[in-house]
Amino acid sequence: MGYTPDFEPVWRRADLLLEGLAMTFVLAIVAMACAIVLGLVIAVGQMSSVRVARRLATGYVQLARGTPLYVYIFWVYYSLGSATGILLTPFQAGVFCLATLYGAYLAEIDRGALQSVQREQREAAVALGLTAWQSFRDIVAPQAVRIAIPPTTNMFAMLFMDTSLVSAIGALELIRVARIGSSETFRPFEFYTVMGLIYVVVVLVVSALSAWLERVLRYEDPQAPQRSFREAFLKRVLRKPFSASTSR
Amino acid sequence: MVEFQLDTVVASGPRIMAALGLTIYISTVSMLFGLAVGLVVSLLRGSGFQPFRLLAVTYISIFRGLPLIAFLIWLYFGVTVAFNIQLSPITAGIVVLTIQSSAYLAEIYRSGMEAIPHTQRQAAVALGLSPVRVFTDVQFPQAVRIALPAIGNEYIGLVKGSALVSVLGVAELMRTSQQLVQFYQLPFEFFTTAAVLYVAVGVGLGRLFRIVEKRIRY
Amino acid sequence: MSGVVLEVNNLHKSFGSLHVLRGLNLTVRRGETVAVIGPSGKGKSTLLRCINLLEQPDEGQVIFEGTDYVPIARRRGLPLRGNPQLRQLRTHIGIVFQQFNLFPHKTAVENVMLAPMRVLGMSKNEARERSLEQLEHVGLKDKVDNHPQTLSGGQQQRVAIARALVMEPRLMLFDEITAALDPELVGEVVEEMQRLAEGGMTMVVVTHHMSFARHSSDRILFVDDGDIVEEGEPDTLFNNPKEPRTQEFLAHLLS
Ligand SMILES: Nc1ncnc2c1ncn2[C@@H]1O[C@H](COP(=O)(O)OP(=O)(O)OP(=O)(O)O)[C@@H](O)[C@H]1O
Ligand SMILES: [Mg+2]
Repeated sequence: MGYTPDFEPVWRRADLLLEGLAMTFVLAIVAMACAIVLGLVIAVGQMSSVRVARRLATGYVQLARGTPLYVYIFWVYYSLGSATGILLTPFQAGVFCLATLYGAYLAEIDRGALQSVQREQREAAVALGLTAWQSFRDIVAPQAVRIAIPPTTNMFAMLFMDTSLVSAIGALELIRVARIGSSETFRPFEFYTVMGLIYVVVVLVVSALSAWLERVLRYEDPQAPQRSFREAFLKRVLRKPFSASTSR
Repeated sequence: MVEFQLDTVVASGPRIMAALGLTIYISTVSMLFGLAVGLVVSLLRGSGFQPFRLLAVTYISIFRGLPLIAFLIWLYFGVTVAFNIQLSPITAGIVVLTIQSSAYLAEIYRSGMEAIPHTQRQAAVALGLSPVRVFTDVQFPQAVRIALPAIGNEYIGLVKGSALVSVLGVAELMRTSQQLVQFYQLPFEFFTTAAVLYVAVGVGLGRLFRIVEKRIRY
Repeated sequence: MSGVVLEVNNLHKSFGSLHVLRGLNLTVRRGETVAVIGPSGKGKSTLLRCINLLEQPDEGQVIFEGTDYVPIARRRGLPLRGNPQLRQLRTHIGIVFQQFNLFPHKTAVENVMLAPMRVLGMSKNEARERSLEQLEHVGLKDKVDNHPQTLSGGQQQRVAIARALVMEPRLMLFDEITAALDPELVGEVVEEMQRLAEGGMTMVVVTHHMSFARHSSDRILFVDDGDIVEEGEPDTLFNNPKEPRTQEFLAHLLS
């Protein structure tokens, strides 16, 4: 008791935390980019007219949805290397695990978005003489993208949280640098508090961004007042709590 | 490719099973506490008193936006040191899992409550039930029934999430697997086993909950 | 036969066990406006969709300007896939749907410009110019940059008409294009069809709008149960229907 928190050492080592934050973002963004590509491939597979492709894609999604991320990270990092001879860095293993699991989650979003563009839209395009590819590129894809952006953004918030699990195999990210900082300065409480706050703030901002995008990108009721991002953020924090769940 | 050393895994069976027991114990205790705390949070959130509502929403947002592993480290290596609190790793793990699951469960209760038609409440009030009675006898049981699938998923999520308590050194399934990996130098065998067990428990619990759901359907 | 734009012979189409079109025959001459009337759910839309092969007929011929497109469509199976010949056909046949089916992510003028650019290979400027012209014809000069959701139903339908007309089709198909509109907006859309009919466009108009059928069409087909029950000039068909089913349908309308 009688502990006086002193955040001065944290500010002094702000460079360390910033580096960790930057690395976390790099990890999250690279993993997300891979996951988006993979998600599209899986979604196309799921909707393909080729039965084998459908089966494979659907099976993959089911398998990925059941996989516990934390165990998966260890499995990939420690055992894939010994079993196959492919040695991954913690960063690479982290990207691989996050991308392969989130790819499956994103596939579901993409599939839903693509399917929600009604058949009539394609018919109208084809009736004008457009090719199937043109109707996909000019009509279906742009509409599906708008639908998929908000939930994909929210997925990014979840993925950002899940980068924390990669710290366990030694990747340099927020948790890792907070550890380094606290053992350097003997101020674990302060370092870990700031670390936690950074996560919460990033996650809430990203998820508010998702909510805001959802409103901005909607075609319906153009007369509805456009909420500013600030309002969206305040609402996210004060009225409607963050609702994404991570893969844990 | 080396062969899967099944006999080594089998030989470690008792230890793995004991660890799995601890995993189930931690997640179950956290779930039970979480159900209670989550109810309180959801009541605060639904209360007419603005500061309570704000408090509840902030609580939910923060503990859902804070990664579990960060929360564990903050509590166990940060808070305890600063405030000189004695916490066993298991207790710390249960506290963290309880708080996090309560943040999820509060929202699950809420959507359950919102799914009940208003007429139900009105009918109960018309019968002369007190507001407390309306809640305990009419609304809550229905809400739980509606929310049961989500509650089941949360429980399964907690079993998976409890693997993170290994960072505090609790010898649950994940930590034990890591120790066995180190000892035998067989990462593929033991991590695969752990993954299979987590998935199996998840699938098993999912089945169980579906049976329960069927049972209590009117 | 000269002057024949479209000839439909013995057209059959089933959905599962539902036999929707049962050997229907139809000839449309250049410049003619043919109105199709009849009870709901009896195959009028299916007929139009078979004409531009959005539905694949089970049997029969759809001869447009001398070419039977049914075997061409059959070669490719999926109606939304199409092939160069089918696309060619579709550029010559314009269709306007009951539900407008405008592209919500594009403005009015972008909706109209799309096909000239993608299908006819026009430059953006040229396509835009032509599209603006079409939109002006349908009275939407001041709405060209609006998204469909900011337009009334009648305005949306007029954009859809402009979108079809910009391709300079040789045959226009209209599928109950006023059915989804508020009553007060029907007039402005019907006027567009009248303008086209008077301008000599060849059109097949499925409609419940009896005054259009009566006053603006050259010929009326009464379709029920997948076939043409009766056809004739508007006045004859309205004043002296021969078939009992036609009489019943018209009597029902008037009551
Ligand atoms: N793709 C389809 N799959 C199955 N059944 C269909 C399909 N399209 C149309 N039908 C059925 O075929 C029948 C004829 O439909 P159609 O749309 O041609 O009727 P309609 O005369 O245009 O009616 P309405 O006046 O209501 O538009 C209806 O019973 C309809 O349910
Ligand atoms: Mg119809």
